[in-house]
Amino acid sequence: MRPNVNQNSTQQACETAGEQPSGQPEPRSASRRLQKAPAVVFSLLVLGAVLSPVVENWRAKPRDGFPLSYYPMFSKKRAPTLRVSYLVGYDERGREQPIHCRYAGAGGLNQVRKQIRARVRQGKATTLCRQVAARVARKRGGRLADVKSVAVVTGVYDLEGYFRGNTEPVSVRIEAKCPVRRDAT
Amino acid sequence: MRRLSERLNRYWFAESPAAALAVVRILVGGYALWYLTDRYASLVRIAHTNASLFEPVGIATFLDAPVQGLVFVALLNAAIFANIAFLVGWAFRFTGPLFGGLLLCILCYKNSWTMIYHTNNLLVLHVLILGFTRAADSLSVDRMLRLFESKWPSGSTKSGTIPRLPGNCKYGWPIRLICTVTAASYFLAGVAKIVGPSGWSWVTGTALRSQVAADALRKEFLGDGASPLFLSIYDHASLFALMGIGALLLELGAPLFFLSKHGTVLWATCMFLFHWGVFLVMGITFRYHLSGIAFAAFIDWDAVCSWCRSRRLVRGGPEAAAAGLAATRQYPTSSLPN
Repeated sequence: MRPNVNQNSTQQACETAGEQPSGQPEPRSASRRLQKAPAVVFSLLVLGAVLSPVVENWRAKPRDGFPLSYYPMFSKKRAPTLRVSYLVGYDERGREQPIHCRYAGAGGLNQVRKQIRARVRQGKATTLCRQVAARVARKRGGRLADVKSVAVVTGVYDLEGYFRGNTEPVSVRIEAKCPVRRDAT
Repeated sequence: MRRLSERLNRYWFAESPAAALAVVRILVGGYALWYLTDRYASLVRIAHTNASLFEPVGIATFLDAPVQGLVFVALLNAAIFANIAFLVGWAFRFTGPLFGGLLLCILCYKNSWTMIYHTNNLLVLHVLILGFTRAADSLSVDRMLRLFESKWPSGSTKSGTIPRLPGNCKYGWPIRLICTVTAASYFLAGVAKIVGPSGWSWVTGTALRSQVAADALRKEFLGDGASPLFLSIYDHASLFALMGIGALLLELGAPLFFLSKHGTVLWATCMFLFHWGVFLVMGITFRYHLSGIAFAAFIDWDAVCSWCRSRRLVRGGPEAAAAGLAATRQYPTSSLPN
């Protein structure tokens, strides 16, 4: 038995290709169905697993996972204000210099952002501040070369107004501040 | 009901050339290898993060505490080794599932430090599907070894060509599964938007704009600043409404696009462009999606190969393309050395 040589044969299901011209299934079709069973089971399992996190949308305490997710970042309603914990450097004159989150930890921006927030919540802002100060101290050149002290700051900003020019914080709190000791490094 | 079942069967078990699945394996495996090697130092650093920040997700939930740094490095090295085997298709029955499992472990662990990166969801799912299916029956070391070990069918050695495997549903359904899993992920994201507290405000654009604004503000304070494009379109609420409606149509409407072959390709193209839009407006680099590899399974690789052959871009001219296509379908399965 040769497979169908029709140009469209690749568009046909395997079982169809195994049928005789009369339309009667050939003896092999039953075994073909059996061969398909693992594929059907595997496909259903994978699809079921991928779709299963949808129930989290209706749970009181939803839990996200990986790689099976219900994509919770889209189900959060944004408040008019946004709280953000970040790092700031100060030069001799007290001028502020933003410090990139990579000085606080490894990973992507959102991962480190959450880690900074977690350290603040855990009351470990001072420890984090010292770690950042030590990393900044190793920088000999660039815009952070003049930074004399580092702070972990939590600010609350008006989300609507910020990008319309109202960049002043609604509230700001210095969680920890520590000097940058360059001679020690 | 029976007709529906037949249609589903015809759709899911459509024949596909072995090379099509193999091309997807090579692209996905190549991306994974780039990811693991490019992020090697970063992944190792993440594994050494303060233990108080450990919040296990996925299969990492079986861990009570972070593993030793050396154990993680060993796992990472093993994953890279398995990745290479996956890519070249060597001992694939073993290395395919092994790589899927190791990549899952590595990325679950990476995401267990306060933040889950959903950008890698599809990569892991695609690798797992490919790893557990016949993705290395073609364009692989395994195939070459099988050819060397067995007697080549008469004629093929003389011409020096490697006999092509015939199209088969065992290469078709994994491609369908990859495409469906991809669409299902976007569908879930669409559902999360609508059933969440923001609800249909995604249609008016307000939910989307505040979502992007929150991300941009964080980037202003923690990263390299907001995207210039976002700053320039911020006041144009109608643009955000358009983007919101477009995203919802693509996400919630994904199953409808799958009703036709052209619809599927159109959907994948739109999602590919959607990620470029996200990149330009939000500065978020979904590299797997931006590269197009996340949507590689949507491409009709058989048609691409035929087109290349007809344009003499690959070995053989237009005649070879036609002959090759026929040979693919006429080759008796029993005489193939797989």
